Amino acid sequence: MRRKLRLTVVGIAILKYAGLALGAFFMLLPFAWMIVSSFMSAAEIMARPLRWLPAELQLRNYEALAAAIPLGNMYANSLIVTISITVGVLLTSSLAGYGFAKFHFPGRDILFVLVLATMMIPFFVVLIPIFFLVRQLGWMDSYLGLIVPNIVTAFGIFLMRQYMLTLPDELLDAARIDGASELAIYWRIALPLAGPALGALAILAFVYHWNSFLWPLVVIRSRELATIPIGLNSLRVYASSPEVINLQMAGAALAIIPVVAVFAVLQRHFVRGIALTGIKG
Amino acid sequence: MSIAIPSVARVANGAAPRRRPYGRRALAGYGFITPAIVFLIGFALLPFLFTVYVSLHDWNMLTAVTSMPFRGLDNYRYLIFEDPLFRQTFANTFVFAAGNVAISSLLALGVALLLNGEVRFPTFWRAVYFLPYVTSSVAISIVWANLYHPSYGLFNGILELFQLPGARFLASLETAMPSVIAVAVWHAVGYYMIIFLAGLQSIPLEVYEAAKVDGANAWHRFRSITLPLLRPTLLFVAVVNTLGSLQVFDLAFVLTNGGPVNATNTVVLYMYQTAFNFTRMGRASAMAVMLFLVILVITLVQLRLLREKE
Amino acid sequence: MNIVSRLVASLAIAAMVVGACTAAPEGSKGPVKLVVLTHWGDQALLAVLQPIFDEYQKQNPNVKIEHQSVAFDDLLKRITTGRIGGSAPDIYHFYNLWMPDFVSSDLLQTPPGDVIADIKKGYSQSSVDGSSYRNQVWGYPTEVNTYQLIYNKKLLQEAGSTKPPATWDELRSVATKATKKGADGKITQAGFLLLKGWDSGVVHPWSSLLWSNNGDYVAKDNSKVRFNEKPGVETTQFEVDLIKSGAADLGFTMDDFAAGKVAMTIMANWWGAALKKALPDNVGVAPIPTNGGAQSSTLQYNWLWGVDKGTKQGQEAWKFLTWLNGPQAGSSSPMGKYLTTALNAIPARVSDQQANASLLGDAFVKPFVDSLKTSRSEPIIPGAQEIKTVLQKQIEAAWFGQKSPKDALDTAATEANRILGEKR
Repeated sequence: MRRKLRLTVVGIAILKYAGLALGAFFMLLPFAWMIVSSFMSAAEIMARPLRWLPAELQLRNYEALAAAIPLGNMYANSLIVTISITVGVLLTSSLAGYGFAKFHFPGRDILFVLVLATMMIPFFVVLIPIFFLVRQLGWMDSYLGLIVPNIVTAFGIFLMRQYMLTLPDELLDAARIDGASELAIYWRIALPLAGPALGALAILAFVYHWNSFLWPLVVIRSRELATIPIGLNSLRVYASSPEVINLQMAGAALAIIPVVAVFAVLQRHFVRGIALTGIKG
Repeated sequence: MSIAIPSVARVANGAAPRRRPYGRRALAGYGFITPAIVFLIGFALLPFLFTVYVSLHDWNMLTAVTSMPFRGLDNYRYLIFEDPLFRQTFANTFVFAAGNVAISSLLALGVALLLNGEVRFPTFWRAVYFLPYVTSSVAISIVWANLYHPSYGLFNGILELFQLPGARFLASLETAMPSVIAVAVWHAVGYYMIIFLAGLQSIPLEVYEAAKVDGANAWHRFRSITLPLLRPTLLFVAVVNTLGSLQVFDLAFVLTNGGPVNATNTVVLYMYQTAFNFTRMGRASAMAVMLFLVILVITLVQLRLLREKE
Repeated sequence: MNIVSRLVASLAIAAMVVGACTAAPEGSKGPVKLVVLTHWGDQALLAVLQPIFDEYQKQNPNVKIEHQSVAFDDLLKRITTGRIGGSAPDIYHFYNLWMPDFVSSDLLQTPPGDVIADIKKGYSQSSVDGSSYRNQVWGYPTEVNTYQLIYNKKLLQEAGSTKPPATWDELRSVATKATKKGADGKITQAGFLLLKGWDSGVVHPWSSLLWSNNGDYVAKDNSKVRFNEKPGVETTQFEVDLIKSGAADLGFTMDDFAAGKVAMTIMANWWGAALKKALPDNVGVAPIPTNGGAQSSTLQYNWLWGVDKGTKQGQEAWKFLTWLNGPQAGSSSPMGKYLTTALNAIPARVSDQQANASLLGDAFVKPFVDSLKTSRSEPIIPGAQEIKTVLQKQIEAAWFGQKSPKDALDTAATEANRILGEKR
């Protein structure tokens, strides 16, 4: 009896790991093939039956890639834009979230409903007006055009407000009695206490804007300002030769590998951040 | 435990303040929220109203805002009754969303259940499944387009090794949409898995222990404990996943550019083409408004449905 | 706390970088900057093009030429949104199909009198026509492209054909013979390649076949399209039959032709450079096969250099273009040299054709040059690009069996006539 039970347990465990491993195989296969084929020659990519590994590493693909797209610029642009947006989102969201959570003033609830209402407006709905607005402001094809329209999000305000509600009023009142200014209280007490929510929001905003495509696609003109997704997109061509495939794979690999490295280091924070925004406990 | 989806009613109740006279601190409150509010009005609320306004006009963005010809509901009438492509992109978008939401949510739940119990190397598994989510959709679309290549792609290469007939994937009308959905599922499954995991881990172990003592088997425990307690998480995943799926653009643009023959053209992609290739801003705005309304209704219905069962 | 101070620090850095970057162009006053937009971003092309720009900058030290390039499918969007987005380049190289919309949107600057005189004198009539709209020349014509039947000599021989097909019937029979199936019934070699998913790739060969079948694309007065009449339906049916027989299997791509797995296709001369590399000495070129006793014709399209109406450097821009397109000391213009050596294209300027005669006499290029005599210009009509996109999608719908050829073309015609009516 016990033995049978033991066998079922082992059987279930095997099934479980087999399932997990099968899934993991499919999750990793595209990445693996991307890296392998980025080192292949065009002939090897076209070879049938399939070749699993390149005979020799074709570093030429990466050289051709560096000549085809401005990799350095792309990384710098993506970093500048994404960091600026993330910092902007953290500041505006925490300020407004704190204001909504910890102050009483006429019209507060109506204004908060307004925040919630704008949360329901997806970006594509306002794409054309914002494009027009950015043009009127003279921000086309500039960092300002990429950054400014994104530095406030209703979701961020909502998230920070919900979190700030949990901060004890007594702590803030004590600081007031000590004569601290409202801004100082926000900066020295509320913000540090909101660390977990800030971290979660930072990660979400960073990942989202690092990968963002539609907005840069309409606002960016010059090669020098291309972000990583825009630069990669320019590798797509109609009339291709097979050489384009390994070039594209090399480009994708260079875009993906650093992100994977950062993710590997910060994995725990990513997971916690996303879990936090999903379920607030 | 509450869900990060706003409910006006709940927010208002939850925030019921101890009434105090407004004082100098009220001013500080305004100070804190002003930057964000001004911004939201300028970059979200007014643009939204402007979209509605433009959708009633003809506009190529070159003529002045004040002199765009008024067309009433003409753009809407044209799109609904005379433009078969718009109807098709709408249908495509729904097929995509239905496929993506159903498959990615189920798979994510499955993986989360596997990982929730006792498992070795939990961080490793979690990382592997979550990995695609942090990578750029443009980069992964380029990779997948090459995996799908009918002649030189990895998939057909593998099928050939096993002497199986190859598929056309993105190049055929029948398989293009399922192929795009597969990429979307692969890309997002880890994200929803993490959310499910968080939901599962917030269910107290004692509940399960009690059920075990009562002799409930695994399936019963899943049905009578896990599912009900996971309902808020399910709701969140369903809503967020649907919202995102209905707005799909990157994958359709990079993988197929809507092809073949618009088989994977989506509303947002068609809107983009209408606006930026042919500068028909009025018509594109009408598309945006219609998809927005549909998304709004679906979200409200979803919230309602799942809430009622709570 | 630590996080916050780090955030502030990064914000400050970001702000400084932004400031530095946006401020940079301000410092460079004095010299004239010309922003030139093309779709020539390829390394092989830039290797020839950049030295030309450098040469001009050497001769004119006050001028700085900033070359921007985008992928072809982004070029139209880039020009239109450049203008509506208020960041248009000074000069762009564009496809003449877009001219009607550019003109009606008031995008282009009219060339000065001497430039117009130079164009009217130095270029063939068809190129002048191809660069004119509403009786106005809009810029310097550059490359001329036509479509021809391109075939893989070896595969055609294996199929038992000593000469390329001259009629649709011959094409059908050769294509069928050159098609091979694997043991599993999968097509491993295609007799004919139809390009899909790309407006020109679909519509240009189709139009060439239409005109070689006594058909018309649009009425002479541009009042309505005529591509859905009987010749158009026959053309589409011809293509659909090729697909159904497996000879023009839709899973094949241009890569497959380059890899020697396709016997024939209809394509433009600019593909020659890539083909010479992929299939050396194995590519033949022949006129478009005809049907019903019609004369072989083909589609011709042009590109031209235009100057944006909003530019502040109009004079300098035209001066640069005059140099770029003008013959140098009795020989080829810089543009002519670039077009023939790097692009494998046919230059529109008559003196450039003469100066580069040896390159144009090449076995691959010559049939294209010869076809200019019987070619017809792609219709330069209001809304041309939008109409072409509509037609492409409907032809593809017929290919994929979603609609009958007649239904598909009628749908396209209804939509096209609506666009024509709106934009006229």
